[in-house]
Amino acid sequence: MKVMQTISKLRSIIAALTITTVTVPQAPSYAFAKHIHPFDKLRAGSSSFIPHPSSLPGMVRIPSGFYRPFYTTKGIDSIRIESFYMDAAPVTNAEFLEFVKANPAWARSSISPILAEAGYLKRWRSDFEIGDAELADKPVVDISWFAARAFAKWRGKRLPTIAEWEYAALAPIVRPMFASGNAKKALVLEWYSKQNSRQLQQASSAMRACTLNQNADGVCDLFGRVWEWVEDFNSIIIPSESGSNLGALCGAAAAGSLDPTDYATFMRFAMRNSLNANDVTDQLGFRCVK
Amino acid sequence: MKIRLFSHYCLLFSAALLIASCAKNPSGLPALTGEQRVAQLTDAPIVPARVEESGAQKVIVNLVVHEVVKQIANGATYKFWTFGGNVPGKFIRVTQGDLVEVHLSNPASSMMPHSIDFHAVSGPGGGAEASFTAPGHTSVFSFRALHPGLFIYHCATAPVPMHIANGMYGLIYVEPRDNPLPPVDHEFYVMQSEIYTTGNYGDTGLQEFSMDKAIAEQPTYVVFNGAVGSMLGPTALHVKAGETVRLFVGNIGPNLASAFHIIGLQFDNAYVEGGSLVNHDVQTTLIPPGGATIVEFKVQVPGTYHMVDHAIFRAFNQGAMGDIIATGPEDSAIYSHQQHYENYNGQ
Repeated sequence: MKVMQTISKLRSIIAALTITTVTVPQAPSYAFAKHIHPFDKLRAGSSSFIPHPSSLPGMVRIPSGFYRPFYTTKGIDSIRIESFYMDAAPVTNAEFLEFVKANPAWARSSISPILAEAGYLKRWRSDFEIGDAELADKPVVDISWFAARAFAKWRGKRLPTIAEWEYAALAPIVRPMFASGNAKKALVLEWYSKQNSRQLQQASSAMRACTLNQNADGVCDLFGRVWEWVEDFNSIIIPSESGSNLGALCGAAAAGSLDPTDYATFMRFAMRNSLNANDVTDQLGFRCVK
Repeated sequence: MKIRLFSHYCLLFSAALLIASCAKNPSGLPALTGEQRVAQLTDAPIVPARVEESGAQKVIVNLVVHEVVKQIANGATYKFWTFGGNVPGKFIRVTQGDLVEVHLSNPASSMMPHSIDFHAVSGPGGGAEASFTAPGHTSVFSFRALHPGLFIYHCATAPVPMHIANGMYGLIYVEPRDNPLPPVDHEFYVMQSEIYTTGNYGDTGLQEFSMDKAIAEQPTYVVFNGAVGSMLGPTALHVKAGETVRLFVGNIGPNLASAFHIIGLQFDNAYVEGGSLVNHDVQTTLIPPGGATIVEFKVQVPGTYHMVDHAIFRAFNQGAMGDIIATGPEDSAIYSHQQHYENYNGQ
């Protein structure tokens, strides 16, 4: 347990450092537009709502731009995000099965508790068998951060950083209806509040990728399907007076955040903050970037 | 030889110190008896019985979070997040000086991480950080119940207001060790709360949380014990005329202060803000959001007594009402009922 926590903390520190190095806090062209949402500022225009063509199957291109961290840190106004490719949909059980078959060390009965706690891939029938055919095309859940990372590496990809994931999530939603700004915040919050029951209700119906929602970049089901692992999931030190992580918990969180009405984003940060790298839960999957 | 003697003295001295420190706890806390018990937890309106203890002991509190759909009014449901499956959460009763060991479990099927902030805890966050629990995990932490009184507990995971508005709250009563509450005929657990929905009062079906109404502090419902009518009709509280009643009343808010009042009687004792100050002969007692109070009264004559928030539109239009029904012989020396009725022709 301790070993695992240390590993994940180290990872987080490295990841946090990595982000810091790409920070461009003093971008002069942006400074005057502090109160304009980065997406509005940087992606308003003719190409905004047209998914960018991607040469990578199953991935869409996210254009470069600036991301203002949700939890503000002194001296960092915005982070420059370089263009990257993101999986259009969360990784499915069928895809994860291919990985496990090619890498038997990641099978349920072989994996060390340091890398994934009890419950890893618990919905599968056996080590190399999903069992329920309808599960195949649904997002894989009950996988640890270590497993998600190993999958990404095997695919020649990686996990997105918090900044990349949240930056991608800024794009307006275009399906099932158009929503941006406050309307989008309300919609996402509604989807989150239904996430659990929807999964249960639709457990028997086919639920292929890209069925719930899609954003202007062509990314599907970012919201309301499953939570998603990110590379630096627990690297955010949410500000609080005591210097501990209480900011994730109490009212102080609002003081240090970009937008205290964005409850859906608070939920994502709280969820990430609660995790250890070997955790598996029924609502937590992932997607990759490149 | 001298050196050896000296080291013996050192040993003796440190042993003496050790014994002294064992006999008297360095922080001045009452020594634990070594006994322990698992706290009996109850759903509203039931209050667990007081437990006689020979001294301060360890009390284990097992709380499990359940995210469940429950009725908030006739035909209207809401997806609550709960401590123990009901709204309000379980009532916990301990004695001052007890070491309370909290086990908070969050099932793997939960959507959210959760935590618990006990207002009875002396420590940062009231235990919030120590109990921050991802789905599929259990957290354990302990605290000494230093202060007697009636205290709120609630979830403290961001966004905190939504975790609270969605049902994650309850009460813990820390009984004073030296002067416990006097025996009464009935004890009940009542918790006032607001529910903020995008739909209107009276709408049916699954209701969604409304952040706009919550921020504007304009609830759709103001209720006792989680739902409109939770203590009306078949689920009203029943007592006998002449009996004494104690209510442990909490107000989680999240926004509104409660003007707690029972129509047709006075509180003999009102434990102001749930603490040690006792007021007498009180008509309406104020309970701030995140606060609690204990009221004691005697129901003198039979009839139906309405518990209300005397900010009265809340009682009439938003659901803040519950009934205590007293049966038994009339006492016309105290209350006559209508004695006479006649035409009036004056101006």
